[in-house]
Amino acid sequence: MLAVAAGLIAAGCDREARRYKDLPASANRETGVRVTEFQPGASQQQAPVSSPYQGNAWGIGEGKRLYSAFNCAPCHGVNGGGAIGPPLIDDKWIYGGQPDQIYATISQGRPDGMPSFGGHVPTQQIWQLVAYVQAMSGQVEASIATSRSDDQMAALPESRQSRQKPVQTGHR
Amino acid sequence: MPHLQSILHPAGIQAQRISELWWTMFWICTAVWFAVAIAASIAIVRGRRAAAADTSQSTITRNVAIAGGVSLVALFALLFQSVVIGRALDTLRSPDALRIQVTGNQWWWDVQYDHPVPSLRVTTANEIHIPTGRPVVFNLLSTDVIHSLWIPNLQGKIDLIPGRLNELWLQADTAGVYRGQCAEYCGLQHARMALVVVAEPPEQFERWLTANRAPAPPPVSPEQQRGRDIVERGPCAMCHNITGTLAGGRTAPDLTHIATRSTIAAGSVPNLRGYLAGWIADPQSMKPGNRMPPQGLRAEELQAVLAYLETLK
Repeated sequence: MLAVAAGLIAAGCDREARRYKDLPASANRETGVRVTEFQPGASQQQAPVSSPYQGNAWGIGEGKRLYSAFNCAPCHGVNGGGAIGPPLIDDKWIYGGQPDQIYATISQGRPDGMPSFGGHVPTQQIWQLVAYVQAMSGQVEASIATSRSDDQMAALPESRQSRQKPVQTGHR
Repeated sequence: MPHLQSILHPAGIQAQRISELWWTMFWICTAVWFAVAIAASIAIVRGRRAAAADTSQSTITRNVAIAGGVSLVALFALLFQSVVIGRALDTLRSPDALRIQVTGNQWWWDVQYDHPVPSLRVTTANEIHIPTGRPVVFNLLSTDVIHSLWIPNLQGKIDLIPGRLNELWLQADTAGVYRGQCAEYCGLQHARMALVVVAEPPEQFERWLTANRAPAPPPVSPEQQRGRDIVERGPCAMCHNITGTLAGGRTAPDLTHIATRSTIAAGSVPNLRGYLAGWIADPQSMKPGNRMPPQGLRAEELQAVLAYLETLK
């Protein structure tokens, strides 16, 4: 009886423990990607993270190849015009048009249909897709963006897209 | 000697004709070379003495006419033989030919054996099995740039052109393993875009085809099981297909029966565990520029994947 009581008391001790220093102080700084600019207090600006392939024609070309290889087209449209998924050639971004936000969208997925590709698609290829997605709305230099495809295209190639100014719209 | 690739060792009727044409050209050209060399030697030996002698205009005219006539006859003989053999190469048409679809990709070959029942279609890569003594026709397609299929022991080369269907007819009469390669410059790794053609007796070919219709065998040991989990949940499944698993990508070589193939990376290296490990760990060192990204697998994950891939017979 006494042993059982002692055991119960001992088990309760951890419940009451106050763990002030479980994580290093540096872990208290938020470094994750921000999906929205709507924040308490003054808005925190993040240093923009750009895709390593932002200025690289090969990387954007690879992104274009992967866009069809990984079946982005059935939802976002062959030329990015949108279908059951949102279009990618306009200025509207539900979850933000910054490179790290696009990366997070591809890697983690988004509610209402966007699958998470993290772990399935290697990091390098996600960044190539990010660079291509940016090229679709004219976010990269025309001299670097992919030009016309070999097959018939209903839309202008990425290198001739007019430069859209990204607007974050939030979820519909 | 690993898989012989040579037009001088024909294994089928077309290659036989091509090699006949080659040997005829070789002997005629050899004869012409010796005739020219001998005439030049005589002229050098006679030297100034001949130059001083007064050769009549009619002798010169006669000699030039003879040389010109012999050249014309030889050239027309070669042209005639070339046209005759070119036509003969195109005569192999048969309704019961085996039809195989070969699609060129940067830088590997996709090979499909059609069947009215879709689940009985066989897809493989970089290795074509054909029966001996039966006409075979390749449907040649390309997904990206112009490639060219050349199996020197069996037939001449024909281009694979995007948006166009070309046909290559051939028949292997001698069983054997022959090397083929891309014969049209197609980019960075054109040189490492080879394939293996296995010509085998019809009953052996049918056994191979039946075995390849089966889905991938289920893994047995816990390590193989873990290997399949990594293939299905990791990046492999995005591009590679393994029938019978969740891996259903269609943009890279089909791996359903990878363990039965003799090479990996389109005939670049033998399909041995060490090469396969090196390939998965760092494909860009073995074949820089190819479409396979580095995977970043940990050592024990890599070993599990290898253990699983070795069961895909």
